[in-house]
Amino acid sequence: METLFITAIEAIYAAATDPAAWATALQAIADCFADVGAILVYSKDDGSFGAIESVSLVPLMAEYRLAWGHRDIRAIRAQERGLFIAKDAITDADVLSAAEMDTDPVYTELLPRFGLKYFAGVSVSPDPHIAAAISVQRRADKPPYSASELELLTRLGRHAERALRLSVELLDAQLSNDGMREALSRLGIGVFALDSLGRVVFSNPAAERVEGDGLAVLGERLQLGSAGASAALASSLQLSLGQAHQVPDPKPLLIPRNFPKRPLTVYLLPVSGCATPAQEFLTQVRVIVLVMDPEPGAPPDPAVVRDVLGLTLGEAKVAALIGSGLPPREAAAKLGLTEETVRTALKRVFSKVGVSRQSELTALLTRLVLR
Amino acid sequence: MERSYLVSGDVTTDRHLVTNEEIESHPYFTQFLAKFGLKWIAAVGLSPDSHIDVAISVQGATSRGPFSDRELEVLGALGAHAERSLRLSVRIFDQQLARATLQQALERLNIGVFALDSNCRVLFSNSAAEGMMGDGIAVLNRKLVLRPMNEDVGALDNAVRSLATDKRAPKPIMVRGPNPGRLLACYVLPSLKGPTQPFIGSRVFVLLVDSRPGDRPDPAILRDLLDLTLGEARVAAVVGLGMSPREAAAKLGLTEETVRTALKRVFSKAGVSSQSELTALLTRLILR
Repeated sequence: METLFITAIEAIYAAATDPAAWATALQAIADCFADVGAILVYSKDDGSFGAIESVSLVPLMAEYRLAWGHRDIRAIRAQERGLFIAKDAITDADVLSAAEMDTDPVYTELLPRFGLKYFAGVSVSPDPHIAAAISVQRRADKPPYSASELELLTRLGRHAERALRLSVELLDAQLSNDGMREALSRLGIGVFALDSLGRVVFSNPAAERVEGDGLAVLGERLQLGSAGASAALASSLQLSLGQAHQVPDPKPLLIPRNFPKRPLTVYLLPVSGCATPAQEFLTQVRVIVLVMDPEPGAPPDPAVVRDVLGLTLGEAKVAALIGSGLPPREAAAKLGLTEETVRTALKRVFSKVGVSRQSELTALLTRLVLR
Repeated sequence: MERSYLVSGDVTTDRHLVTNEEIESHPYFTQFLAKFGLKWIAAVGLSPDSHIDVAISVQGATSRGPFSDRELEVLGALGAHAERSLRLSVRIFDQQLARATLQQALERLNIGVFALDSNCRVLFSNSAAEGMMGDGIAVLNRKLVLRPMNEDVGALDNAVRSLATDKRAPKPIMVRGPNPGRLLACYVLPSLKGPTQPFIGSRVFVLLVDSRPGDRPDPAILRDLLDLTLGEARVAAVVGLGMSPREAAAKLGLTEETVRTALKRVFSKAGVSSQSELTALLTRLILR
């Protein structure tokens, strides 16, 4: 009995980092009662909702999702009567009378088809925006849940709630990070997050494009191709988190390279914000390195330029080339037009966009158009 | 530690490490631990992550006697739980720390960021984004509301909805900035790979970029980056915003001739041949 409980606890916390593991955790919870299976239902205040079930209850839930979601008297009443507010764990007797059980379709049509009858449920809401509950289902030939069983479910529920809360925190931070790394990639900025030994903890697609003779990742460590930059990186890594070393405006470092010729620009941002020594020893990331490649790469996509500046596609093609620094003669050659045509189009672009010089157009485009 | 007894999962106690004679006579026991009424120790090794080794040790009072095998089993089991907990902590703290720093990077770039749920409700916004709010961008009832220049009020909702079906990124939405003449481009970024997470749901990022040139780049930085003199750097900084040499001259209190001469040298050193190219270069070099 104790082993089953511990197995369930372990399974519950395994699901904290891997939501796919909930099905297993739910079965482990049901096993504590020698019951068939368990279901985790959740709804958020943005209207989304869902359910995860243990494998043993897949057939039941398939049927449930088809036709029973809106007429499950147990869920409806639990909600309406605010049952989870008053009690920790509830069971059938809290929701309907014996007489009602004899006639309600959930008990007469749905559950018997799968050999089930009584349930016990516990609220496991991880945060104010998410309402969640776990309910265990037992075989029809077993008696109703006892008070001690409900107490056991309450204890398991507390762990499930904690695991869900951890999940939400972790996934939230992960999604934010993924989004920001992607955003920086679209801006053409490479990101490397380094630990105290200079090893790369994570990076983004733009960072990978920048690797070459100026900057490389060797054996997990970021190597910068200039003595000055390497020294600056080494000293950045030495800084401990505890110190208030907020660098208000980090100076960029230049990394020379052979090809392309222009040096890379690198900014070192030490991380800060670990409140306790425990957090400090548990975190890896120490410095975030931003890398900007001054090489223009391809000119911006004319379709995006068209949408951003409100031009025709033809005008956008001209604007894209001029805006990336090309003189009109070269732009004309590239587009198979005369220089005269390009200059006329450019005049229209200037007028529509509200600038009067090519460099103004460039300034606008380089800023507004993402890759 | 010398004998590598505290590898992850291992439990160890005095009798594995020292002899009875050592316990009765070694100063560590007789002078140090005894002072606090302590004698026995049991420890378990954990490793929440390949770079981190941890040990938890329990100190026993002199009176309790040595730790039994059964007690060591219990400590081992507790250690496994502690390891799992630390593993979770490592992941959460690392992600949160990285998030804070990436947010700083985007702030420095003056790029506004909104994180939305699938109903356009704002989960997060940075201060750059808040500085861009006005007629064109507002948050009403926690939802992000855009008023595009082309009056297409459904543009944001359509863009978010299209993420579920379209492979390509939605078009940027142009809105008016808070000040006259200021244009903002709103990019709705495609959701990242991976199935919709339960509980969290999907996350949409909206990037806001400003047409306004922002502050002039620091001439000292340009000087170092491009190996210019400070005077050349000042000229480069102003022309790099898109100003004509005449306007630059007025701004810097120089003659137009001086500015043009300086510009020629800047072009040569920076490896560009037009003001337009110079602007393009500077915008890619500088964190605002």
